[in-house]
Amino acid sequence: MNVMLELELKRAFNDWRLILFTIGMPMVIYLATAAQFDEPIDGTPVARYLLVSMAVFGAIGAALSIGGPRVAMEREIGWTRQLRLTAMSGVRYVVVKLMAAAVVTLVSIVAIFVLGSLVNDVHMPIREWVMSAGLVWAGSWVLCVLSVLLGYLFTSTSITVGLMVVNMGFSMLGGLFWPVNGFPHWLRLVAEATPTYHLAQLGHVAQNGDWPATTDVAVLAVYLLVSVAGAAWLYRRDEVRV
Amino acid sequence: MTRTAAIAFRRVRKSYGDVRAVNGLDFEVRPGETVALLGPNGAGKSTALDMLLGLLRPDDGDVRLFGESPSAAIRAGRAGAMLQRGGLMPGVGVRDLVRLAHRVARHPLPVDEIMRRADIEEIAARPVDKLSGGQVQRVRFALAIIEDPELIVLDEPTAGMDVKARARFWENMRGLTDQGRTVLFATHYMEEADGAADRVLVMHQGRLLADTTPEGMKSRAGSRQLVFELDDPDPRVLGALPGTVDVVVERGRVVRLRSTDSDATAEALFLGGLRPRHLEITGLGLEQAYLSITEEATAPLAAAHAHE
Repeated sequence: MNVMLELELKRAFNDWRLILFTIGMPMVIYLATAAQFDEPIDGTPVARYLLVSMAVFGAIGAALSIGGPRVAMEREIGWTRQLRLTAMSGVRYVVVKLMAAAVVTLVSIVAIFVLGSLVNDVHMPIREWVMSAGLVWAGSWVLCVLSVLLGYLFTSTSITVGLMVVNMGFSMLGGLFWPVNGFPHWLRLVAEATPTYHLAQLGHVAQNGDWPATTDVAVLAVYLLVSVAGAAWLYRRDEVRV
Repeated sequence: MTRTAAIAFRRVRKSYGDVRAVNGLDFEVRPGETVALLGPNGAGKSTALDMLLGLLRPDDGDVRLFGESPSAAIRAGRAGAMLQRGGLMPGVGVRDLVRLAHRVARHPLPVDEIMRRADIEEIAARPVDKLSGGQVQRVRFALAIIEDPELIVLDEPTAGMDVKARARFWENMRGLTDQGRTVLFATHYMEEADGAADRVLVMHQGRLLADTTPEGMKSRAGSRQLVFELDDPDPRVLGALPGTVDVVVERGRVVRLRSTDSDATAEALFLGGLRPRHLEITGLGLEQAYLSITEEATAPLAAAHAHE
């Protein structure tokens, strides 16, 4: 196994605060809210609906908190500079960060799904379990890239606030806490511009055994392209300046 | 010249806005040399080293390592460096970090060998963010020698080390340089330049002010200092004494005179009928030599500024 990825993951899973907030918190919210409502949302039982919402909430927390803060910190202390004196390419550095974020994201999604199946009594065919988890996970790579982009944009201190705004903003506006059905029309338009809304849609649709809608995939693809381009540009700028 | 230079700077310039950090730097380092790079803060040393390592592109001129571009030489593992502003990956153990660097390298030494050479075996399990300044320097040194490079570049390698650790570090280095490696190091400690380097480059305001040996530098500044008291000293008379390089009169009667030939100077002093009291002759260290060389270079400029 790649040593760098191994070290990144060791670091992540040794950091109990990070694990608590990215994996623990969505689990607690899921447990606390699923039992409170009887009315189905969009015709889906609440526990089953929130399964996807909270999986996406866990995914965005995990995706954002691995890549960006580390890139910002390591730029600041000069580790990225040190790495440039090795045979390791900068692209590989970024890819390993993305892979580490993706692994933690997957753990956080699986944790919610296990909770849903064992505690919250959600029942689905195997195919739907795998499809919805897989699609939410794949879609969350967009957020991993976005996080790395922010890591090149912010310093290690300012990124904490930046990530909080992005995390909470996308989570609330994307309808992870309150379904967008109840949103006023204009807010609903805002919601539909967030990646989290479409990420949740991927999961909800897959839960019903359907294939993902083109719009959801397209919006996420646009976010991905913009993030990749932005991160690449900032990375180049950083390399020239260091 | 039969062998390719380990380091070649050719008319290299680099500016940050209006500030000319490096202004026409031109020198070569032959394989096997140990070279000290001296200069006051802001002399352009770090900028020069960044260009040397390919971290920064020169505005003008050319930098080559073993005839290749710096980044090609580094990718091939021919040059390793210890940076002043090179941080370590946080949250990992020392040995894990060395393993990582080992993995990334093309032709690395065995991990245990690196740990031994860098003298970090007993801190192998410590997290890198819990090390003392001197220990951090040793870990950085380990990263510099992963590929057992032909050229080692060190930017103030012993910063943060205590006297004992510093002595041990240089003893260790000597072992490496004896095997024919090329070393270029920037330092603030003159005794390190004196003890470890066989060549000294002095940078000042982005240029090379002196390219000499520690001995050459001392003799250029006058290798001995004569201090004595004299009634009504005349700097012109004293300055004309044989071997004299520089005369300073303090408090109207204490004379500090630098000389390249202290015997001749002292003899002429007495034969000339002067009556020096409390005469003391001391060897001039590299530190004073360095100060006098950089002060000489600054003085005309300071004078020019004063006239403006």
